[in-house]
Amino acid sequence: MNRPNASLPPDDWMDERVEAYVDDALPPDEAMRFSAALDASPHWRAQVRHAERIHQTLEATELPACPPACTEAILDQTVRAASARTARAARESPQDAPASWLDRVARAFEALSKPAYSSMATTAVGALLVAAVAWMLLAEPFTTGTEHTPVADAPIEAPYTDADVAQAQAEAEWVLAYISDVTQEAGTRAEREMERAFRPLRDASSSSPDTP
Amino acid sequence: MRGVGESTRCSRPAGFRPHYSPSCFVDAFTENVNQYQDRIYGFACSYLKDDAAAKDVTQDVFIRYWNHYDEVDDDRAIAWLMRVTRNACIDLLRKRQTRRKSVTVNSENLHRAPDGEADPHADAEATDFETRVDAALAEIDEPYRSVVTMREIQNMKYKEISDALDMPINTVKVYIHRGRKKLRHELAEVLDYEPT
Repeated sequence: MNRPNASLPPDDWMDERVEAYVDDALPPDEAMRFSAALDASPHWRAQVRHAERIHQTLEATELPACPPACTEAILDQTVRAASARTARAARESPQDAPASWLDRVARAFEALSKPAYSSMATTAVGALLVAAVAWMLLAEPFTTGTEHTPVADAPIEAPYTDADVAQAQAEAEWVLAYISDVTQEAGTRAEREMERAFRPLRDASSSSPDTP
Repeated sequence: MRGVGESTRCSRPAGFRPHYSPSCFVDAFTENVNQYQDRIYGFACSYLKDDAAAKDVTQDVFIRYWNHYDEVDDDRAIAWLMRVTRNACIDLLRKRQTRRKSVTVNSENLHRAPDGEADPHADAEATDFETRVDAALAEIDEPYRSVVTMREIQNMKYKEISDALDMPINTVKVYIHRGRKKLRHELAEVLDYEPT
């Protein structure tokens, strides 16, 4: 590379900045130094021209348009397929039909996975775990069939006293007596009523001449 | 053409599933397809140099976009699409290179010398400067190739390129200049001998 002037910036320095100079993206001091070097160097002027030409060629590159068939294929496989699925689902199940339990569970998990609920869900699960552990530690162990004590042999502790028994017995006797009195009175009254009802018939029959 | 982020897409409900989406989502997606399909197809064509493969990639990218529609904001749609397109193109080229290598090995086994010479038709086309630039662009390595394509050919914003390639904006700017410098070096011979 021919460098007519030894005071020019190093080649690497110049080479690194050609494209930035073309884009007018160099800091002012570097741009000034670069311009000064260009004035003195046909080589770097040519490099700048080359960089400008490449830049213009790239910018002028025309993008091919996406073919309509490609667009149709995309829409067929995405929105149209989804619309068809949605329409089919709407035909097969009415909108007011309840969601399946699987969907409901999935929705519940989705809701719980939201940041707003995740802390609450974590707290609830933690509380359940603590409660389960506490229950396992504090509850009496389950008895097996071999350890079972028959009811008849088990000592029974009476939940009442003798006074309670005596009072209950007295109340039972009083109730029975009341029933007996009521029944006796009702019988007497019924007997009187029957007597009164049959008296005219009896009197008539006793006064009749045909009666033997 | 509407600007990025100006679409009328209705707000997405929680648990939105594109397969059972209401009509407003369908309309919004269709609008995005119409808005971005040329850029996606153009990038794929430019990258792959193969119309049929570019069509396949474009379809795959938009189907993927539809499946991830609830995760991609409108503001970042083009960046997302370009990233997926670029990855798909790179994957396809890698597969092709692997296939080509295996074919070459088979050819050697059959004692057929692989023909590395360019055909006359390609030489004739190479006289055109645009074709030379295009070929040179295909030769430069990543990410310079993608950055230059997105900025210089696709006229994407620095921010969009930054999002698409997941790199800072200043890095994007540096890579654009370095990519074009690589092109200038690749084309040095042509530029030196052609009248400017």
